[in-house]
Amino acid sequence: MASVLIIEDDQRIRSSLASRLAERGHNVESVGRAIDGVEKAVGGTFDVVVLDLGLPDIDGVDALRMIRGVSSVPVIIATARDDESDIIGVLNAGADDYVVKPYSAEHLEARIRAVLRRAGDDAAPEAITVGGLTIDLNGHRATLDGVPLELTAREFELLAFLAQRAGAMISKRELLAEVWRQPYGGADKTVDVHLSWLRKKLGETAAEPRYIHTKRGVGVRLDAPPK
Amino acid sequence: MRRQLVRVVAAVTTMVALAFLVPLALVVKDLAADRAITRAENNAETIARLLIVLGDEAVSPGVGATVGEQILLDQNLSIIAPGGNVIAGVPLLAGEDPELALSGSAYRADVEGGQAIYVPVVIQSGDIAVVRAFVPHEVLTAGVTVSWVILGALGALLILLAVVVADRLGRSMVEPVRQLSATAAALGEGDLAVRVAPSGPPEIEEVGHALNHMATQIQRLIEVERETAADIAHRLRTPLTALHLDIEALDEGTVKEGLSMDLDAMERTVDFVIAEARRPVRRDRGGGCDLTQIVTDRIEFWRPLGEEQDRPVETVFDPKPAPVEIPAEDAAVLVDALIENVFSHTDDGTALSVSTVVDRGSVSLTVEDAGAGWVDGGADVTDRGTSMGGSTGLGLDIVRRTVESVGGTLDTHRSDRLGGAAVSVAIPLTAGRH
Repeated sequence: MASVLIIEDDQRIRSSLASRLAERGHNVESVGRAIDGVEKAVGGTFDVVVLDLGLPDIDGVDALRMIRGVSSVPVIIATARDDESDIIGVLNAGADDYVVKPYSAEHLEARIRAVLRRAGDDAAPEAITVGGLTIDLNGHRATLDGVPLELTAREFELLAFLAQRAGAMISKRELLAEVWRQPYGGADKTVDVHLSWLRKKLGETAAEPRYIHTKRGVGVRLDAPPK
Repeated sequence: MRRQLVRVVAAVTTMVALAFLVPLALVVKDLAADRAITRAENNAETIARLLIVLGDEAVSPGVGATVGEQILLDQNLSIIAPGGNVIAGVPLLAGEDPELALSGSAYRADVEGGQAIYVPVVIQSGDIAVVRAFVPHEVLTAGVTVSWVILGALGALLILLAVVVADRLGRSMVEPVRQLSATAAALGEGDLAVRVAPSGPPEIEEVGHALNHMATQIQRLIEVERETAADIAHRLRTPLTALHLDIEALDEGTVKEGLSMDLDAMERTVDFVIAEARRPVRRDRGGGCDLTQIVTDRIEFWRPLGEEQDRPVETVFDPKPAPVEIPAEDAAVLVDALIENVFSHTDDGTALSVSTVVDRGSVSLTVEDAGAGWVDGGADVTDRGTSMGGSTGLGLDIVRRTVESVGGTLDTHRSDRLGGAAVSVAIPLTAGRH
């Protein structure tokens, strides 16, 4: 459970998001103006701030700089703009992460979790081990039973994300949001084909899985094979 | 225009040259004849004066020796005694009658092979002798041919110079027009960044400025239109987020599932609009790729999923390279969209075939399957946003736009070999377009 401050001028999004996150057990406060949000972010004890860029009184990036001036609270930017230059701009201005509208509460919550993991767990493991699979997060290398795996950047990111949540069933929608940062559509086979490549490189098949287990219509799980 | 200008100048120069050269040639001819006749007259008069000095001896048979027989022969001179006989020098021509000269008249007459000049001389006895000078035709026209050749050469040189100058002048007028034409053609192909460097005559330079202004205006209008489209699409993302959150609040069930699918489709449409608004109007020249290589790579990318889904994947590739004017990244998106279409809309185990044919300046790529085929025959599945089997239909729309941007075509039909749906695209080869 986290204490979340939402700074969003759209009343419908604000109330819906507060309700959805509250239903998921978070303690949520929301404001519609940047000045109120900065005041609360600076003076409060929030675990994370969700900041919309298009605010009526102060530009979101300026609000972010104000918060960063006095606080190190993690800030997730919620923006309708997905231009690379815009995103780089807000990250350089001090944002910890961003989500592009339209997003779901599930998507935003995943981002909140990721930010909190990074912020609160200074002793985050440099390497993750799942069975014979070892993933060196800093070195961007992975080995299976000591043998290096030749993975593309996207495959490594996908494997690392699954390994960080080893044992948990993760939906393809979440994978698209987390790894590809894209909304999920019914016809998109991007995740499927990358999972196929991962299986192939891990020396397994969908019919005879060892590490990657797919449950049709539910999601994907990375797990160590039984000994 | 340049050629016409050269022709006009050549014709005018020729007429002017002829107007001057023809009279000049005649004058040259007359001058040559006058010069020869004057020289002959002088020679004859010299001998005449000598005869006057000689007195009666002038009409004696020994006058030739006195005057100099060889000189008379060299200068075509004759001395005719008062009786009409030639007593020294060259003989008279047949039919030549010096009677008029013997009566005291000096004159010039045309004779066979040239002209004869008769100079009467009153000798000491009071009789009249005649000194005759013959000027042959070749002497009358001596140097005329050479002069005419020189004049002709000068005329030809003048015409040549005029043609060269006209050509240069024509080029200076035509080149700016050509640049204008090339710029207008590039604009027509969608290269809105192209501009012409205005040059040439003031009127053409003015057209160049106007063309540049028009291109700038078109570019600005398109940018404004695209920014507006992108801005509207961006604004749509906020209500879509609210809708997302509202749908999440619904109880699980078919209604929520249906709304979620509709929302996904709407999100994809908004993303497509934004992507289209960002897409350059025209692909950069030189940004092409080998479609054969791209298809080969993308098939290998999709093969593991095909194997996983027990799909027989057949490939029939024409080994010839297929250079097309589509950037490699866009070509990969095109091929992926066609293949993903099969994976998305057919069951596991459904066969898939990808084939290419390179022929007659174009490459044909066909992706077909053994599925149920097109709904409604597939007549309009590539229209923007036409839904097909639960998708937005934007994938094939992107394919259509990509191939049409380089002059290609897209055709959906029933697969003859596998019995399911087939999509064929024909794209002109880079070399075949020029």
